[in-house]
Amino acid sequence: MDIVSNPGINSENIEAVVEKLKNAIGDKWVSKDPAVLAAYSRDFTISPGNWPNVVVLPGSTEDVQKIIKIANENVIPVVPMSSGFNHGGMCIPRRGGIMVDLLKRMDKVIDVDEESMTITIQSGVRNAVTYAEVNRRFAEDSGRKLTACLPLTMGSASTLANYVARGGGATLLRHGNTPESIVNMTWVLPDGEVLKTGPSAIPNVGVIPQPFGLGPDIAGMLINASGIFGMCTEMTIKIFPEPKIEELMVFDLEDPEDNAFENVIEFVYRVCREDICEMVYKAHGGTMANASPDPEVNREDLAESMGEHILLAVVAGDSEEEIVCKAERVEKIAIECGLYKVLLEMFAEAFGGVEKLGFARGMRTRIGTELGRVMGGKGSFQWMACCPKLEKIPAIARDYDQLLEKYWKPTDPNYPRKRTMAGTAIQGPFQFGRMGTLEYDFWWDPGNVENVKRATQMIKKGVELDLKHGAPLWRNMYDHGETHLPMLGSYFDLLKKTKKEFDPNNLMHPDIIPCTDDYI
Amino acid sequence: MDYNAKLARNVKPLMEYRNDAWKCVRCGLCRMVDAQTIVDQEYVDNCPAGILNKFELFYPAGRQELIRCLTAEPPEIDIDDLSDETLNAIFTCTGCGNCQLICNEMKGLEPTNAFQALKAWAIERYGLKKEHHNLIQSILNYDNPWMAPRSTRSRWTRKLDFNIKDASKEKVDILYFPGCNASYVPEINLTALATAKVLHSAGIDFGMLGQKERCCGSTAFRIGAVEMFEAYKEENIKQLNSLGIKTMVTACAGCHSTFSHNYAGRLDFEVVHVVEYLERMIADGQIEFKNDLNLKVTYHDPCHIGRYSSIYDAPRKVLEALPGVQFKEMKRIRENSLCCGSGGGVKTAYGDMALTMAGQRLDEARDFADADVVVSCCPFCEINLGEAAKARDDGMKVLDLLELVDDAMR
Ligand SMILES: Cc1cc2nc3c(=O)[nH]c(=O)nc-3n(C[C@H](O)[C@H](O)[C@H](O)COP(=O)(O)OP(=O)(O)OC[C@H]3O[C@@H](n4cnc5c(N)ncnc54)[C@H](O)[C@@H]3O)c2cc1C
Ligand code: SF4
Ligand code: SF4
Repeated sequence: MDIVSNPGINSENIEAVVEKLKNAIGDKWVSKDPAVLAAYSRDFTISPGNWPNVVVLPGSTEDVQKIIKIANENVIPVVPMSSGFNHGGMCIPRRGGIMVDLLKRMDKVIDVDEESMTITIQSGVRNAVTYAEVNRRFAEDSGRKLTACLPLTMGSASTLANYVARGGGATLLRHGNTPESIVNMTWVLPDGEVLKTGPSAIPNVGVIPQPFGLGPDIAGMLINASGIFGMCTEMTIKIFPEPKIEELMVFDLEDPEDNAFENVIEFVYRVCREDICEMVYKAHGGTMANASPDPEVNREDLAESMGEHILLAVVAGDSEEEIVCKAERVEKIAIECGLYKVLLEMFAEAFGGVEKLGFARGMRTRIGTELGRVMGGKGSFQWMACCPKLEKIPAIARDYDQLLEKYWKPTDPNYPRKRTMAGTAIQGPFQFGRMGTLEYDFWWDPGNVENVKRATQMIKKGVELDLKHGAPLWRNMYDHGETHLPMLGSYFDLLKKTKKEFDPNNLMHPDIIPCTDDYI
Repeated sequence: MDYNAKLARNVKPLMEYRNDAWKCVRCGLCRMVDAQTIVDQEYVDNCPAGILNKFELFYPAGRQELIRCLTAEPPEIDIDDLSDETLNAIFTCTGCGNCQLICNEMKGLEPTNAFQALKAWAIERYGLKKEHHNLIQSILNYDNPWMAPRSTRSRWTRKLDFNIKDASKEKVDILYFPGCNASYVPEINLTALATAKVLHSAGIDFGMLGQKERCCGSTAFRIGAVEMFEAYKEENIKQLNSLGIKTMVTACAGCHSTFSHNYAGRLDFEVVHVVEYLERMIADGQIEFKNDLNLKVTYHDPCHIGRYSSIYDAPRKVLEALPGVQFKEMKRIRENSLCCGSGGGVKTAYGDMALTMAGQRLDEARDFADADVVVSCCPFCEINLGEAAKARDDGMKVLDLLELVDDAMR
């Protein structure tokens, strides 16, 4: 991609901008050192990198306002980044400018309010911290622990950024995608003004656990917007009581050849429809094999032994009787769908014990080293996801298989075949199971030119595949916007008009999604 | 599984970390304590360089990106014109090993070793940092980093009321190796005295090298002077192997780590930290405690016997055996211990940073563990934590475990 320079980006102006930024938020928190810039120039995905001109570390909403005002005065782009751990190059400063690191100094839990069952966090609060701060409290009436709605992702990822980037997935069956739990937000808009959304927008109201304030919900526009409408600095989200106990169940197919995916879908659909599971996740042997802690293990064999479809289901409740009852029902459905229950101990052997499997509650909502190993394998990990109707999933997955056959050639002899290098997962059947998130994974070697070319091709073809099947993209990924957003018709036109109205100079994260006429 | 996560083992030239730098997924798990152990937002971050400097470059993921840029062909950053800020980033890594412990188990990378190679690479191109110059010269000239003559190395032994065998003249099975800090730094002499007294009281027949003892080379290796270290190490190997000892006992975490990992496979004897020895002696009833200490104590795991060598239980068992000690843990302990901030040459080149870090550690000792005394097993941690304690003047004390043991025995 050609980098388009903004009028504000020339060496003289940058010097002036740096000085102004230093005066505004403090010398220590502004840098244009080349190595500092480089550390914000790319992420773990295949997306091409680009350097910002300056990096700033704000410590408050007021700091963020000052930064945006300086950017406006000098016509220089602004790019927000929290953990920078999105799946699709969405923090790369395509047109350079000011990189705003919202993680490092704005990392406090501001309040946990058991009365309104909410937690208020800054942008830098990470999932492991949100989980910890909520979890050390009990719902007073029932003596139960509390939880926030946290997806199956890294303990080091920003909770707030996950919410603004429309997170979701397998662990959120009960609560819906993360934005559904947003109550209040504080945003700094492209002109530097502060916008409060939700009930707290009304003076003196405080926290009311109602997602929308008065009037129509314009806050929705800010979600999954990749920062093109400003930066969210604080957020209040709902918290929920946790079931007291839970049990993990693992299922495999009786006959992997016989309508395998259809059977899997049927199972997912039925357990969701009956609302008996806390989590349902169809993994594939490759993910699980990569997650094995044993460096000596033959991942290929392990993946092969687990097959293409491994179903993980968690049942939860407040009493042993409830668990037994739910587990029996889930198993019965599984048998009717041609699945059998895998003895957990056998399955867990490869992982050094059941507790190491990483799907226990605390583990799955703040992935540490155990589940983090899925990013192991050779090289880096690439992810794509779409949201098809469940019944479409088998066809999409088969097409994806063909795609792999055609384009994918792993380069590491230790990870020889596609099993250990790629696969599909049903990440999150949405409420009641009509829709799911189909995830395609593959592992690639960023240091290998041939491998990089193939990975790029895979993503391009993957997007075409989604569209062919009418399966919308789950969340923004660089390069996908180009194909997806223009399909929105008048909605896309309205997006462009709104962007122009909010940000006439196109300074907030320009070119990250197509929403202006000069998008490159 | 190798819980030492290959720390300091087989550190390679920078170019050989190129592919690892590409493979780092920038997940940021390695800047924190193990995500599963977090219970409180106050005690989360665990990379001292990052905690105090905040820009991504100072955290492991940013360092990986720096290595990627420097080793790219052509390099993406002008390798002949690195700024002071970049060099500061390179040299503020304390080598605490937190990042490698997390990442090696998860993704198989060796970030701490890579950052060590990065320092060596920077020294090759830019020379030693001026603050580190004297350290290296001193090791070369006087066999210690303190610019002190060899003749004073064993002066502290004059305070003992018994003689220690000279291992260079007399054959002994056990060599006590006090190391440079305990030998030369007056406050830390107490550790050497206590160790010698405890070993003696327990009836252990041991010797020392006295003025012939040479620096283990830890400082040189950790600041990145790898070439100099490798040459210096060979002399040590010759000298130590010629003694015919069976065991080297040291009370210094740095010496222990260096002999265990950097000399791995080259020494004809085992290397143990004195706390491991003590644990055994207490369990066997070889040590008797007479004195009630009446102290509220917490324990600071030094990186070099903790993460580097997994010695976590022994010091705790010793503490628990001491009469009158109320022991309470801090939050960041064992594998997740927070570095005191002084390692890797940081204390010498970035003294303020080291002291700020030590201050944060003392806060944790006071606020979380309600302790009056922070106990450790590493002279270097104790120097830094001790200075920070002195500066805050709130009664907090920093002591070596051996000092407590010695007190309790009297
Ligand atoms: C192995 C793995 C598994 C994962 N599994 C899941 C999963 O199951 N479910 C799930 O939901 N996610 C999952 N993720 C994604 C991960 O949680 C994302 O990193 C996170 O949701 C986005 O947060 P971030 O801090 O990384 O965002 P960033 O990468 O920092 O930002 C994402 C986008 O939002 C913008 N942005 C960032 N901060 C702000 C802000 N404060 N205000 C406005 N805009 C902002 C950025 O410019 C960018 O466009 C997974 C990731 C990995 C690597
Ligand atoms: S070094 Fe390892 S743990 Fe740290 S950011 Fe990179 S991949 Fe993650
Ligand atoms: S070794 Fe310690 S100080 Fe150095 S980058 Fe890793 S965590 Fe940070």
